[in-house]
Amino acid sequence: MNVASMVANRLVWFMPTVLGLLAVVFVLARIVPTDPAVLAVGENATTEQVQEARERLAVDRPLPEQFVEYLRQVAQGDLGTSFYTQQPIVDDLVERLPATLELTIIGVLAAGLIGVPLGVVSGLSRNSWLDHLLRLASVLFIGVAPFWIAMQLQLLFSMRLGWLPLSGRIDDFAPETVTGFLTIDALIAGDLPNFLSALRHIVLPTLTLALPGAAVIMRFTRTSVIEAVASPSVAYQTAMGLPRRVIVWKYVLRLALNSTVTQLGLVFGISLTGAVVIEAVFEWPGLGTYAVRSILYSDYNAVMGVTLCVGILFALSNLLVDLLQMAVDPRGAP
Amino acid sequence: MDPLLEIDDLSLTFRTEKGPAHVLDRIGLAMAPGEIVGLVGESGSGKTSLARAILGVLPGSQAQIVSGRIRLDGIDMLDDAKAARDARGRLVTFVPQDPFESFNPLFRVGTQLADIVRYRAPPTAGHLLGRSRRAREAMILDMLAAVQLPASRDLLNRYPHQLSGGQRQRLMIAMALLPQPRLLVADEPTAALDVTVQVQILGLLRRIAAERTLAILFTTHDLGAAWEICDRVLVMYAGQIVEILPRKALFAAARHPYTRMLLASLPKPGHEAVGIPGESASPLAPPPGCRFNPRCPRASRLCRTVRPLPSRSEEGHVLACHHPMPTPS
Amino acid sequence: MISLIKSIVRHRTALVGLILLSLVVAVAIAAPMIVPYPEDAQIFHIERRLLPPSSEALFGTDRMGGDIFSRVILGARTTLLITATVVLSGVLIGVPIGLVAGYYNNGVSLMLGGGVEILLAVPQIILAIAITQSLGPSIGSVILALSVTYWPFWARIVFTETRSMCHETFVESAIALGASAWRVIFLHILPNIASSIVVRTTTAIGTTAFASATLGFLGLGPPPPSPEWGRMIAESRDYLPDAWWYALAPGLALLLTVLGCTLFGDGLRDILDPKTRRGG
Repeated sequence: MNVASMVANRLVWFMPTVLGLLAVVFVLARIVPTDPAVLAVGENATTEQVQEARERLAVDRPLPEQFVEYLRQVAQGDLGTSFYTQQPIVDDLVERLPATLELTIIGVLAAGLIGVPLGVVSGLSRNSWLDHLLRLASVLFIGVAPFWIAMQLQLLFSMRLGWLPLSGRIDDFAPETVTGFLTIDALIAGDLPNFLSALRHIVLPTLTLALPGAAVIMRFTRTSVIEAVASPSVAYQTAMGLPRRVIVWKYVLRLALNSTVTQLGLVFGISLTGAVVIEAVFEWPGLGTYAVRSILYSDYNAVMGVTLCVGILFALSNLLVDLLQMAVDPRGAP
Repeated sequence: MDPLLEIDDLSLTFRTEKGPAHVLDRIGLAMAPGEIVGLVGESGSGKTSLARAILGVLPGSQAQIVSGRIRLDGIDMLDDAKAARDARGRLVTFVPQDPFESFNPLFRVGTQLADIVRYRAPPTAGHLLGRSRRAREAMILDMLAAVQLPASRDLLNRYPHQLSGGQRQRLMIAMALLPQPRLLVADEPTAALDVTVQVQILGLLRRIAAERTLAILFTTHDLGAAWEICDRVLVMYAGQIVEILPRKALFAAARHPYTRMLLASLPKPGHEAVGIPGESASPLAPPPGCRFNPRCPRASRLCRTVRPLPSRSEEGHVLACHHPMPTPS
Repeated sequence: MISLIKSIVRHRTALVGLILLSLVVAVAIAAPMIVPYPEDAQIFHIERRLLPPSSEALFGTDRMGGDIFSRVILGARTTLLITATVVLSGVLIGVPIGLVAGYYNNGVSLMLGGGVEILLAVPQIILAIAITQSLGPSIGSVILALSVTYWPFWARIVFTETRSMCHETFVESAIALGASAWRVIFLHILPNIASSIVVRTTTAIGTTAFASATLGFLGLGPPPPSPEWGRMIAESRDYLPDAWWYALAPGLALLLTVLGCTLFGDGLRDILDPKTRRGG
């Protein structure tokens, strides 16, 4: 399979999936007991005002008709207006997407940087005390609730030791927006104090996010290293007397990394799920807090918008992982 | 002439979950330089374990040498670990059964050949710091021609899955020759190949052995294939050597009932191939005495209690049987 | 079955996991009998609020003066009830849908497969939060929300395994011999994929306990004063850093539960799935 046909195949599946997702969330949002028209005009509005809002928002028409109308708007790039922020939802999302991306991308990278070396060490020293220790650590980090570990980290590093800030993205005003990643924007602006501030703010959230991801990557890398060491090609190279270091650090490592890449999509999924709650704990102004708040306030246009956004993010990450896999494996994607 | 490889009284046991498996039982064999020896036996006869023992790549945690020794060109391969490690991949090299699985699928074949040259090929005068990239490539291209592959960079830039089975096995032979070894252990090198390719590969091995005075230990379950290229044929059953025959005496002088059954089971024109009745002996609980006795029509009480010792007769014929069959007329 | 039990006992990881899991279940069932202050599930003792751990309150007291140790153990019942119901409905919904979608290759299976992909296209927790919010915070809405959103995990794995089973010789020959679809699915396919379902279910217990605690943490679980781990952890945030003990016990309880499932699931996979055994 070549790259073009793989991307095309993904796209063919993407459209109906997104449509279905929107339909599910649309129905979900409409069974909310609160009346969106009342939300729009406020509790103290007159009956006439509410009726007027109903017509303006078209919530008095049948559901399918509303859904088609909504899709027409979405196709034009209009996701509606948030009741809560009184802003176009597209603007809200554009503002918050970089915060979540900064968090998850650094989180996944950190998970890889922690998980892969530990997995290799663990797999190579199989059944040693080090291996047992690392495996114990990995099941602990898979088993610990992200919001709980987040709070323990806050307690230790922010409240007790005072080394790192408790919450938020930055102390002062954010640097001029270029990428939306505050660390990078501060660097672009040449603003070192702000860069350090952004960096200090992002340590705990990304660490919380990276720990379970690193544990998953470590476990998987360990298994692939063990499989690679037991593979016939390694047996052959051993019989041919190639030095152990060449076999391990060149050939085994490559085999193991190849199968670890397949797990990146899973880890990104875990991270995005984790971000929903972790953002809440660290008051991180990203998609997670936006989604939770929109749901809690029955801000249903915002709920639909953020669901769509996260769905696209998921699909893109899967596509990216597929492309990466094709790039690193000469045999092509499976 | 001194033998290149000397195996004396080698017994090997594997620890398994079900208890010790007696994989090799008092194996003795000597090979002269340039000699091709065929090691024939059913699967489970211990031929692959013997090949791995010579290469020194038995699974350390399970394998236990009970007795015996292996000497290769004067090096004690079992006791002198450092010398054995040095000899492996230089003095003795290896052609595996499955050339596809034995390549790392993620590296170009050229890279894998180059690493063999880099780490295993003998140093040459004028290259004290190792060969240059160019010199390595020239050496590899020469070798491609020697194994009758197109001597092109294009081939080296391919990945294993982009090559045919025959090409892959020729590359494996090239890799085995690059270190300029004196002994090549080929473990069923044609088992994974089509019949026509099998014949070509066997011919190639035969020619190379003659050109380079290279000794080849060739394991196979196919007596016919062994007869095609070997100087001597060694027949194993359940970890014991039952008979060693010079090639020309294989059909004429075989006297062990098992060898005769193998010969009779070779497919002949107009006849179906016939199997040997009974099940192969389990190395977990090998029968006492001659391990072939439960399947042997000539077995006596002696065979069930006393192991027949190999005895050497004329012309390098070794036989381990209490009641050998009469020489066919 | 007896040999399975034997292998579990011999497999250290599986055994530790099973013991942890059994411990949580036993404690949950016996909770009212074994906790020091069973009435603390509902009754306040404002005079005893926010006391650090002592011999009277092993893990301290909460903002209402409840004994955290008692409330965590009583909370195990909530978690167990939610998890057991959600996992059961996940199996009952997900497995049949996965079997049908995997066995047939027609419009219906395409639709079912598509539905599964749709529900898996965003983090499950977002959908679950949305459903719980529409229904109002209660045990019932948590159970419903998680049951509706978590079954696709079973459906997907059963779907994939069934598809590959359909290419196995013994299934193809059963079909060729004229066996009915039901017969093939229940006699030939289901027994062969049962081990994957069991392994998946074990790990799902942990995932579900997580998800239910997350909903509780966000204030969407059973309303106070009923004891629930996620809510207890969330409550503690207002009293940090002074009441450092507040979140300790509920967090550790959740950790032990999920740990038990992960270890038991890992062990079962080693025992049941010969493909990954050597990878162990």
